[in-house]
Amino acid sequence: MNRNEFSKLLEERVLSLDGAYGTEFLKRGYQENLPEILNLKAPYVVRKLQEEYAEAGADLILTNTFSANRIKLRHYQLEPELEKINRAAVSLARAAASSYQLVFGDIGPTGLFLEPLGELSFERAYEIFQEQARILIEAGVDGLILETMSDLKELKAAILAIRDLSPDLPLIAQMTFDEKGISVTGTSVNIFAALLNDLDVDVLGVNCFLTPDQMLPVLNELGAYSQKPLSVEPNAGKPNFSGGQLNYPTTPLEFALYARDFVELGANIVGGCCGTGPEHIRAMTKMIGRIKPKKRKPVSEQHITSRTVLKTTEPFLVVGERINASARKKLQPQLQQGDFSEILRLAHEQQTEGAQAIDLNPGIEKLLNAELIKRLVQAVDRHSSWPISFDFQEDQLLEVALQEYPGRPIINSSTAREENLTRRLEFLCRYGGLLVVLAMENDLPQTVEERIAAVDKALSVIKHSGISLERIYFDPLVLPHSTGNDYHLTLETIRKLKARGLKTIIGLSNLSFGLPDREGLNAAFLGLAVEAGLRAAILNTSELTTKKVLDGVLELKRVKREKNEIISEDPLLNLLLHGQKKELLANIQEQLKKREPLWLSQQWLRPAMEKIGQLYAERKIFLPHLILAAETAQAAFDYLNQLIPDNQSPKKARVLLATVEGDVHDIGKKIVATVLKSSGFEIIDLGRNVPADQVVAACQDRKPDLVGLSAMMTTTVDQVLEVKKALENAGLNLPVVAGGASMNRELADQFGVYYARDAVDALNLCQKLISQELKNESHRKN
Amino acid sequence: MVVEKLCPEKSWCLPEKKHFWARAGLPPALASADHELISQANALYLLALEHIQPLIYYLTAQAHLFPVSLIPDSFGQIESLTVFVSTLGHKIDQLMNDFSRNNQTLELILLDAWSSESLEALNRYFDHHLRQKHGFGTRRFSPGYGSVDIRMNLFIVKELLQVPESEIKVLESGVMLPRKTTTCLIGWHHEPK
Repeated sequence: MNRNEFSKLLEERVLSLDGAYGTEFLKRGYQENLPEILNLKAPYVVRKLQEEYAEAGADLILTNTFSANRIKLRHYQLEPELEKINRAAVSLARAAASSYQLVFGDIGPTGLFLEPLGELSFERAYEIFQEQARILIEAGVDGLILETMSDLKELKAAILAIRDLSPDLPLIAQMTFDEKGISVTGTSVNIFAALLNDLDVDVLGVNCFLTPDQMLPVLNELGAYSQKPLSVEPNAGKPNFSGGQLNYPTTPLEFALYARDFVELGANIVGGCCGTGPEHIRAMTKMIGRIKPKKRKPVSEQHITSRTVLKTTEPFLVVGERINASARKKLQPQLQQGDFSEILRLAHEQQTEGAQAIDLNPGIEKLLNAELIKRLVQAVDRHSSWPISFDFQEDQLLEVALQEYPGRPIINSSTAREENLTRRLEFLCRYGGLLVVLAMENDLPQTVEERIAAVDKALSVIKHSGISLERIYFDPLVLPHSTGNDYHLTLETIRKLKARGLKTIIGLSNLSFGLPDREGLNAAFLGLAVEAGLRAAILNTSELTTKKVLDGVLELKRVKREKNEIISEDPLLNLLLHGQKKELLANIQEQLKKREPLWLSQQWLRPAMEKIGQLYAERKIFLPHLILAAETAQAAFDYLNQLIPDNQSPKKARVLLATVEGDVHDIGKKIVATVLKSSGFEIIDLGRNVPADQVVAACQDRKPDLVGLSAMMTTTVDQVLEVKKALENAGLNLPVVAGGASMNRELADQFGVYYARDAVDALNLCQKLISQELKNESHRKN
Repeated sequence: MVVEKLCPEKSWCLPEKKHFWARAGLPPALASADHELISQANALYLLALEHIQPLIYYLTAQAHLFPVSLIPDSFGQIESLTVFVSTLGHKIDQLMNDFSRNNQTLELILLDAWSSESLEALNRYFDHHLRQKHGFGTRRFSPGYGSVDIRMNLFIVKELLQVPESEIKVLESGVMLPRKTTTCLIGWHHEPK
């Protein structure tokens, strides 16, 4: 099936997808750590389940290959079987499906975070996804589905890898969100939609983690932003543990009722994730029947995004201009040496001054290289910068930046010259975003007519590319007033372009180049330009008059610019949140003149980290902020600790962490370790796939105060109970804290362990448990 | 004339959600606006389903064996007639009473709408089943409409179908208890009309 045919089918009726594999195999008594091995060991079991899904009326049957990528298979020593497992999965699904049912190759995440949150490079992730996709495509799937992604960058790597292999295969891309619509890495549903609207996928959707009722608002939000068809696969409720196994409480009928609601919200494909089985799918297909998808009216305005921040471009877009290595001479050498501290400081400064996006001009690009640009973009991402406008000349470096960037940026800029514009439009198609097109080809046009002619030429190239003009800003060119240029030419060009329904942007400060009192001149011209129809400007956000005039002109037009929300005005919190280690250490050194290191550590830094935790719990900051703050605080704690005399050092509580046997995910555990470490805990990390007896042996040997367990997979969550029992049998009465996507409070109660929802929850819980332990200890001593 | 009793599966009584919402007076746009209400309505759907005890009594016989006053004018010439009474039982009535007593007005409105649509789903299902068996028929008709007096319910339930009063009680007015009970008539003929 090609994409056109798939698209037609999606217009005709709502399609149904099958249900879970891992949890269903468990229910049927197949307790494999990696369900994909059943494709080789017990193919009849896989085929039987798929036949049941087919018989229940699923239109799309997925291959049993969710974890069959090289990275995950390696953890189970199954790397050599990669090709066989994937090929067998396609044969089995094909045999189970009837001729009118589609077989979609299922691809899950690698299980590792990509840089800068983790260590996996974009290129490696791309290779991993392409390798699995190639096998599935060669084996004859009708389409591919990417599921349960929590990192937008990883999803982007997978999409590009697949599209480079096969431009004409239907592709569904799904992410996993919490009930507030935020992924583990801080990406919201609308950011996901904003980028995926541009990337070359056919359907975007949400799956896993949420129960059907929790999925309603998340799908609704996705529907409000997505220009593409929607898919949804909730879990069958939060699992509980009874009769020695995991049970998912949502009945088939309840599931079907919500499935019908998803259709009402505009879903084009509905299926089931963890805990759903053929009965759920049967009830669902019966309830939905053959129904035409609902028409949706997604928001039409354009957004730009970073990984965690989404900004509207309406009614006026302000881009901060000050990261310009061409204009700021000291930035260039710093950049060449890989010192991004000044760039990050400027980004933060412009954010607080009200920029919606930050222009990034790396100066003389010949002096830079791809690796530096990659590290620069990672640093910007890691510091949770706001959306970026990539002001690059060299295509090669621009492409590196765009590939690495986990958001929807602005590409600044292209000339109207066909060759230049075509290349930049290709980037726009491949990586997403908005594009600035200059009203010129090779030489600076002297008249309005020449500028319009250049725009006309650009329009014919853009039309050919199929990209919407909503994604294009035209720059009518602002030239220095000091050299006798007539500013009316720019204003007239703006008017003419506005009359044709085109959006314009200017580089405002060019006007006052070389003149005194630049601010007054800039402000006056901006007022005139907005009145003429200007929609965006790259400007100096530290110019108060300019900003006031802008807001004033907009006020006269009865519109308001979106104000940036300031997360915190506390200087210490800001140093932590922006990863300003150098500044933090300098601040500490200054304070050490008056304060004891112990006081600074316990009464100043620690409460600040508690506030950071609170901001995270309130969803005012996200995972990248949290990790950055924790790592920054860690450096400060380390510095202070070496100054604290041994007899004054607070006792460090020791936490032993492990991912349970059969589970190879350790992203969550690593985050917990980082946060706990930054709050003074000593961490013993046993790694992934750790059997219960190894946890016991390590506890006997290392004597931790607490045990922390991570269980991401529904198929291995019962291992938490195994560890708890093993500890008890060994006479170790240690508090056990468990977390991970498969855990929940009810399960934890049943297992007799504590539940931590996220890293901050784990920190609060560990602190509480340790103070309890200390109290008990002091009781015992007394 | 042989009366037959049927205890239908609950799956026959699943109302279409959009019908349920419409009967409750909730506009479709609300479906995308109020997720809590959707969840509440879904929970109630499941609760109501637990409380129904669907039951059907029916008979089919030559038309001339029935009193003329029972056969609607709109049926015209028919060869035979099926008469049936369907109910969702007392438990769902009780649940409605509980909601009413506790001033749970929203729940009461939703449950009433759901039950009406559930009973209609049951009737539609049984109607379909009868048509497969008897071929060409008139549209389904209930006393109280057109030329048939609602008080014929008493005759249908007590005399014709002989339903025990513990299961369905008919008041002098023709109103039936449990509240979610209907009587229906379908005429059959050999040729399509």
